[in-house]
Amino acid sequence: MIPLSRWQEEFKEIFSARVRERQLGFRHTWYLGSLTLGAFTIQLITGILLMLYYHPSVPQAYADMKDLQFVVSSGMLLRSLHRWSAHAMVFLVFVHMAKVFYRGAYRPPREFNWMFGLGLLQLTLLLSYTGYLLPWDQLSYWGTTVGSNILSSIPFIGDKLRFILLGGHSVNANFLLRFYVLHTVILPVAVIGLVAVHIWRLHRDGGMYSAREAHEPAATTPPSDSPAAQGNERTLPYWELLFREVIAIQVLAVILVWIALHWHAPLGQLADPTHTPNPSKAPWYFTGLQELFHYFPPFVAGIILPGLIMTALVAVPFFNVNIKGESLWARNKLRRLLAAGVVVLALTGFLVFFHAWVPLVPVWIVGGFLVLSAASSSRQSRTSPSWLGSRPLSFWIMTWFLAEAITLTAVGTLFRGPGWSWVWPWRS
Amino acid sequence: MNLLNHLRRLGSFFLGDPARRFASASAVLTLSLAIVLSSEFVNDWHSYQRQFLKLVRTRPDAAALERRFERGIHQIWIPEQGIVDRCTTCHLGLKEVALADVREQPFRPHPTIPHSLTEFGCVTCHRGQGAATTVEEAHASTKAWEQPLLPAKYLESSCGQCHLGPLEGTPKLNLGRRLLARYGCARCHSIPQPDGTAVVPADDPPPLRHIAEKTSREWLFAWVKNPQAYAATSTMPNLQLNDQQASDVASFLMAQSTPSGSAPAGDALEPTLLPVTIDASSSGKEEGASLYGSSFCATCHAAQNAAGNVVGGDLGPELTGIGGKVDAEWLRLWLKNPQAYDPRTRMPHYRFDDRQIALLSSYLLSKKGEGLLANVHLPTADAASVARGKNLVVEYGCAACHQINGVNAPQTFAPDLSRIGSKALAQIVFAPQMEKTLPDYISQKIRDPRSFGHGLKMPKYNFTNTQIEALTTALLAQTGRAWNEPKNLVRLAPRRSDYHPGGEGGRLIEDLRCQSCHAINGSGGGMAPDLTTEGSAVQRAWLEEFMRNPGTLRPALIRRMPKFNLTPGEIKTVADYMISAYQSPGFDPHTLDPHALTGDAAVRGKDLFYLKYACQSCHIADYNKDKGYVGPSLTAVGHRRPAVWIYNWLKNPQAVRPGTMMPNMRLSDNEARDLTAFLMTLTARENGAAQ
Repeated sequence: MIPLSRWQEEFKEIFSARVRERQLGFRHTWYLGSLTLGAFTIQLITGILLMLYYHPSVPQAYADMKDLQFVVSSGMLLRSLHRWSAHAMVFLVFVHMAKVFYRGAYRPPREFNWMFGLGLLQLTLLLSYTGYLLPWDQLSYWGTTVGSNILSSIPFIGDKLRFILLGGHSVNANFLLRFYVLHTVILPVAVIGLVAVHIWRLHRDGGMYSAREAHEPAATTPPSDSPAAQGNERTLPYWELLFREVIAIQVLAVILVWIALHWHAPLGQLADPTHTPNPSKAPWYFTGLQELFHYFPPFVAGIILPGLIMTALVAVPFFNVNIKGESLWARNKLRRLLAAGVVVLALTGFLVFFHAWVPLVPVWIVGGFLVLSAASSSRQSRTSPSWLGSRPLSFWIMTWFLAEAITLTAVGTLFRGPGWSWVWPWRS
Repeated sequence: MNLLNHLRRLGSFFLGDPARRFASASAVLTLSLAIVLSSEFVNDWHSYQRQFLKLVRTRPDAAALERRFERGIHQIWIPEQGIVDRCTTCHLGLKEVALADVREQPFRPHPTIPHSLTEFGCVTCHRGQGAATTVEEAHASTKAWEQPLLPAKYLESSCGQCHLGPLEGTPKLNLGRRLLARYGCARCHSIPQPDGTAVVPADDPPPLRHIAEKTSREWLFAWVKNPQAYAATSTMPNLQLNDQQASDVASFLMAQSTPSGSAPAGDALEPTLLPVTIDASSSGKEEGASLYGSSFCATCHAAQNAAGNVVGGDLGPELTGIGGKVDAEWLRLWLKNPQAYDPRTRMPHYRFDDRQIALLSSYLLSKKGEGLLANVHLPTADAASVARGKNLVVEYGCAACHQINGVNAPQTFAPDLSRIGSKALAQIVFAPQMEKTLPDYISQKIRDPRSFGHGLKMPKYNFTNTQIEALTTALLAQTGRAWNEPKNLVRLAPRRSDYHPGGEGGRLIEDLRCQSCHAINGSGGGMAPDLTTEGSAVQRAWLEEFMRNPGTLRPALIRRMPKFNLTPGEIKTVADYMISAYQSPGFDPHTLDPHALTGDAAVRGKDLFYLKYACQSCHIADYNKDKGYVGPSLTAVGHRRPAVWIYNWLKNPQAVRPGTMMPNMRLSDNEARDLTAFLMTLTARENGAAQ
């Protein structure tokens, strides 16, 4: 007989009864993880309600969108809420990732959880991408066509992968059905599973990360309800944290509901395989990538660069570099400044070679701030440098990556017109 | 206590500790959801249904109307055709006959139409977004549905989507389709139809292969610059060429011209009684004018009369300024035999003798028109000019309409218009400063084609607003719906044939171009009666006499069949052919016993004619008394119609000639026989004297 008590440790970890007081405050995590989960929950509820009306067939899918908008009671609300909370979820998951990174909460023993987080990032983007096709309007159709064509740029297996994705040789009804199954079954189940592991792991790794842990590298942080942890500081019942997170989710829900009331989810013309709109833009979270396509060959922009980014993100916690998060300029300042200069120039040369002017801008902006931080770090004494001067290398790399992502996405969404030519958005 | 303290206390009341914060957040969330969910009831259609109830309650028949009214979304749903039309959700009075006096929308009842409202839904005819239940999405062009409501003035175009032929009750559509054919649009634009045919041009652009024999380079220049300055009713459009270009085109056309061979070598015209040169004396002109009149040239040709009005037919070109255009010798050869110059001309081969030719040509040559060529001085036509002219002719597609030596007719010169009525807005490049709708695009294209950009080739027609509206209607009807509809729902245009009669009779009929005006077996013009069954419809002696001397059958008409001066042999050949070949199977001679047409029967018939059925209200039987000008004069019908034809006609006119105005008087066999007997006694000649 195997008693249930065998799982006692795990049970206590998941439903650990106590949290540290210092981790309850808003400023630590901005409750971003739970906000993302809240957005996901809204998606689940609205999504299931939408499934009652939606047929994943062509052209009935588009007609169902119309029915939802015009006939179904609160159908427009459902659609809008589903759409805006999808955008919110993607946005929140990026900000959550950035916040976790900037806090250093990927450091051991949390590297495993960091990877699950990255997996959830991928799943969120995939969920959004698969959902984007379902209305079957011009934007959906051509936006996803762009994505499926990127896949075929992979050497050797690209076309086969595309065939698997499409369920055929072209974007058609099979594709819609496949994406519908992905969007409503496979990906949500995967997300729920990963979220469960993510949260369990979080508890197992000691709850919210705090900067103090960085300076106690010797101790692997004990579970929060262990006597060792409790001995250090005040702990509170778990529902204190839960309550605060629920309030955050409620505020998110109110905001999203009011946005959904005021701005309706857009719908374009029925998808027309014979007529490509110009320009055909991917969803906003992919327009940055689409902008990269303007400069680099498809294989580089679609496979190599995103691959490099993902690899870097995954590898970051395993390098154990600078665990203490000490400032970049703490040692070897001149040498490091020189190295930074070389890197900036190399990047500049690389981008100029490809005529990639837009990605060049964040390089120089962030590079400029880097040099400024070097200057400011010497103005004060070494013991109390300015905030910027005391940032570690990881900060600069992540900041540069985020600056690039924001710039490319903004340009791709707002400043590109027919033929991917430059347009000023205030001039129609 | 100051404001700040108040705010702090309020803040701590609502947000003091997490439990309070939770309560506040929950309250706000619940309230938001309640507001959002109840905003469902503040939408367009709810308010219109409330308005409708208010309107209904003010009326005397309120109880019945209210009973018939159902709250909620209404729709016309025809799944086989993918029609979901929710217009009746707001347009609640559409089928309510009781609301006939209501004028304001959206409660106005629908005007009577040949179809039931639920047969095709609303969007089939009115366009717009049928599935929508908000005003803007249903009526206007939006991001989600770019096809807005069709303006009422173009509504007839929707009938034309399925009805491919002429339709009673759609005059604008019919006019537009006639204009499309008449102005030769189909020569550049192909407009295929679902039954495999295409729109056939009904104009007659002359060949230019031998143009140098006919006219001068100066005239060609003036014509190409502005055709309507020469002939106001000309259907040729204005190519908007500058002087240099027009001069080059004229040079090229003169250079490419070859001899026509219409003047056989050594066969000079016989000496005539009148000098061959232009006779300026007034008596010569008068005789020429009188011959012009008695030949009924005006049946086909228009010309400006003394009062300045352009009168006459539109089958042939306008002759107002013919004297300033054509070479005198050419004109004489043309009048002698038009088909020697242009084998495909629609003009018949009149058998004028040389004197008549001289009279007619001097009369025509005196019609100088506006004197267009007074200020035309062209540079010499060198090889460079000719080469430039040829390039222009190729570029502007002149060979699409005219036969030109060395230039083939261009293929797919202009866009196919078979689906122009459903062109997507996203695919249209609009002219600057214009309304961005499809009907406006089409009408602006017709009104001023070159306003859409540089380098466009479509020439400019001078259409009136009525004509532009009609053309736009006809083009909007080309939606391609007829291709996708089930075949039983499409009404095809009447089939045209290219029947031509054969044999010796056929050769004469061709030579006389009877089919320019008469249709035979589905091929020919519509100006004169259809001759397909003429053999059983007329007596042979009458036919020969008519061909010898065409008379007046319908006093109300001004057009007449011309007199061709045929020889007796020719008349006999044609009459033989028509009587034997153009028979109808319905006129079995055994249906009427000729012995039954006695004098008594004729007397009874006369009473029936005048007293019982009052036929004199439309027909003239006795030219002294009767004044009926609606139907043909019957004074000589006994010579003209075979008895069996009259009998069958009286029994059922619609069966003999569908669409005739003559009513079916539901005669009994005896009455019809008696009337036939009476009518067969009407054998007056033209001067009224009995035979």
